[in-house]
Amino acid sequence: MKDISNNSDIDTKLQELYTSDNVPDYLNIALKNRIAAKASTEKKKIELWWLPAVLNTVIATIGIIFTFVLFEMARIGGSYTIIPNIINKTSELALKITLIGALIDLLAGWLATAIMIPAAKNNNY
Amino acid sequence: METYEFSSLIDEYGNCIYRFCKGMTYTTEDAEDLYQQTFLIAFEKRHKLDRKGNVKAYLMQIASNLWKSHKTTYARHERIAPTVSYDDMEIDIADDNMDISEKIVSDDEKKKLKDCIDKLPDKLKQVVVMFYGSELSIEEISKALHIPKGTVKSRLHNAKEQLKNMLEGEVSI
Repeated sequence: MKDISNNSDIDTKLQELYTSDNVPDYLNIALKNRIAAKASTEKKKIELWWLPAVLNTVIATIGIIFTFVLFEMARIGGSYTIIPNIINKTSELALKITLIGALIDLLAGWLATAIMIPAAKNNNY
Repeated sequence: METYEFSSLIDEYGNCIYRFCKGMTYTTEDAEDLYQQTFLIAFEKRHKLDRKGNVKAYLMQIASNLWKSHKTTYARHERIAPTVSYDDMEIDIADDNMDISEKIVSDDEKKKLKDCIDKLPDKLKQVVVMFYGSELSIEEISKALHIPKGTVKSRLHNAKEQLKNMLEGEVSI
């Protein structure tokens, strides 16, 4: 091999080294097919980012309704009607705190979902 | 970005990425695997792709990061089962202007140069392949590798010096 002492010579050789390396057609065809398949799968995905907040709302609402009905039944019918010991021990304040707690939990769930929506959509959830 | 828009990116930048993949790996299979993985990841992150920005540097960044995470695997493949690609063994005699003996010498010189490049440290090899193979500018290499332009120039210079020494060393033996 001839002596390479010239910078431009090595530049030329380095440029010539890679010129024949073009991507084969079959490779691009296979790649495009994979991408098309991937795109098709993405379209079929069901978005579920809303599910935790909805479940939280349903459970919190059931809890609120149950607590409220229990409270009203005890108030109207007296504490003897249902589970007397528990009703006697549970004060009106405690029931109110429970209801407020359930409402806060419900709101917090939706707030967290609203904050997480951009991140969830970026990750294709 | 729609699928057909992304396909046009493959046509536009495919050669550039393929030359990087071919230059950094030891076998055609690994190069093709790296090439496909690069574009598949780019497709997953296409919402971050800015068509008006430097798409080439972004794709090269993905390819470079993927190569880094798999380079031990590529080196192990070559260590366990060194291969000679059929492309390397072929002599393309379609060029009527070149004598066959000249073609053999030319291919031999290219192989020696490629072997010398493979012996370079990874940091220098990457820059050489990006600059000469993928034809990226200094600025694009700087963006792809997150290094200053001065560092890119310095690495290129060091790489050429080392290659010159290696090739002259072969001549003097």
